[in-house]
Amino acid sequence: MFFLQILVNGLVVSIQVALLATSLHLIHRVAKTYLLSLSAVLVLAAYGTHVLLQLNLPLLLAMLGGIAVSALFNWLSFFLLKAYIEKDQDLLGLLVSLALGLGMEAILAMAFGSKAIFLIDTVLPTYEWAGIIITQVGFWTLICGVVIGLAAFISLHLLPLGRAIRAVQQHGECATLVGIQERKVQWMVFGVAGAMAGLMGILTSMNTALTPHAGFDFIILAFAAVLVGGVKDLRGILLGSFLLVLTPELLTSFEVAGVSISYSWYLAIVFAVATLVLLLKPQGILSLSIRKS
Amino acid sequence: MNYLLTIASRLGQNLSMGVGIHTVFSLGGLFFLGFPGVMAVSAYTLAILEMAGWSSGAAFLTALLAAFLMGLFFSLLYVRISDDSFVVLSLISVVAVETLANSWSSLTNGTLGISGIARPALFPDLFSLTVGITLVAILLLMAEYVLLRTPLGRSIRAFKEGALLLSSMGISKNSIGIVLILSSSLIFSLAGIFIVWRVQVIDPSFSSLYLLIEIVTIGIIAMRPQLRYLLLATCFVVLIPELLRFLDLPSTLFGHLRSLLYSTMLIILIHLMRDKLYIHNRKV
Repeated sequence: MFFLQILVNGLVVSIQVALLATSLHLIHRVAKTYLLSLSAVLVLAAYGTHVLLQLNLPLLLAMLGGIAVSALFNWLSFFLLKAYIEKDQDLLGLLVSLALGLGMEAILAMAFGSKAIFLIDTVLPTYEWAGIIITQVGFWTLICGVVIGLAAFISLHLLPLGRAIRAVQQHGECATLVGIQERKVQWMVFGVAGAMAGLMGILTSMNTALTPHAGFDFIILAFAAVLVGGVKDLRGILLGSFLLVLTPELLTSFEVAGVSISYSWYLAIVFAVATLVLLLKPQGILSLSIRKS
Repeated sequence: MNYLLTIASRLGQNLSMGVGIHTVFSLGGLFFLGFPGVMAVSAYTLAILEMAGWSSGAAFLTALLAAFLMGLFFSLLYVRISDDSFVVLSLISVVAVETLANSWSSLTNGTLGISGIARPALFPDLFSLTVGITLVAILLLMAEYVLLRTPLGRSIRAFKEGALLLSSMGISKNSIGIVLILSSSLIFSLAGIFIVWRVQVIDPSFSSLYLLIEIVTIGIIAMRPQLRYLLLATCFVVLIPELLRFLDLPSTLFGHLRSLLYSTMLIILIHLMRDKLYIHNRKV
């Protein structure tokens, strides 16, 4: 039963990481860069929700407001990065996005202080089923994760929108020649990815304390999932998310060979697993090996 | 007087780190972002061994060895995985090392860190340490000056310009990458050791992403091979935030404002210099 409880808790966190990793994957598809400023998007959405809750808005409206703020910030990121995207200077774009994320976190720290904030002051309601307990937030995270994940998969593979995204990914200029507006697709993807990341930031902050630097640990997990899964393969990214979250969850919850590992080793275990997988499968778990020439 | 000595020693240590980032990033074009983690591992090794009673010399050499081993680890990653993955994984390593330092409290004393680290007999006070780190920085600058005029230096510059063309001339891209990673790891380790000797305390926040931003800013400003740009970049990056001290700001805001200043500087500099950061490939 304890094992199932750990599995459910790990599943909730895996879904959060998977959705963040999906945002990174979508952005990489259309912009060929890694958007490190998504760490700031997470906390910005949560702080936006917090401010709107302080103004006595209903929770749902406050969440929508927070998500809108995160989408706007992601559009700002795209505005700053589009010059690098056009010239295929993806690593410079990575540095700019890192600086943007850290700068926004510094602004949030100056505005709100470094003290931890809780979006929900009261005890979280829980659901129990067959002895397994899950918080209401965790339950809704699972629902959102499944719905958004299915929507992303269907959009990318079955709808014209997905074809447009894949066309822009493969060759932006040729996509423009056949009538797909590359810039419009990029704006849309950045907005949607920002909204997804914002939603995850809000749901995560309902479960844990919110600080200005809380986003970076999550985005590191998401990045590792993208690398481990293979940056071009959404299925691999989802698998990578589960692998990188469940492995440390299980290792820190149970004794291994008489040794119990503290939860504070979480990120170190993630790094070790990611490194091991990449050394064995450099292109990702589900990617085919590429012959070196 | 102590303040001026502190600024002078920060200039020396940042210049040393500047030589490291100049070699690997500005000249070699290799986005190796794991150097704060290497610095932290090296500095913690020195601190732990000195507190365990080792002599400063033995602890110093072991710390350099630890940095070399970490450099070897990153070199293995560089050879095995793609460039993009290497950049992101080296970035993740910074956070991983910080987490390790926080978690392994039996060795590192966790969040509280290790304090009371003794300076070596060669540098008993801040003045002698400042002189020492300045001399080390000058030696590193001279070494880079000489390196740029050797075949290896030309290979490093060619590595940035066109790695494939370099390979076609019989020089392995991987071997140049390994040389860059190992040499920069040792240089950063040296700077980290001097920082620990100066402040005589180390905690998990010793090497953070803000240090990475600061040093990459130096690398961006000093993108050209001429060393005078490196000197100018170091002075700019160290001295500009010191102007904040003349503003009447609460101490809680100062650190965040400094981080914001470095982040903004980096964004503006990359934006202004982006076309110069990549060498236009010669047509063949």
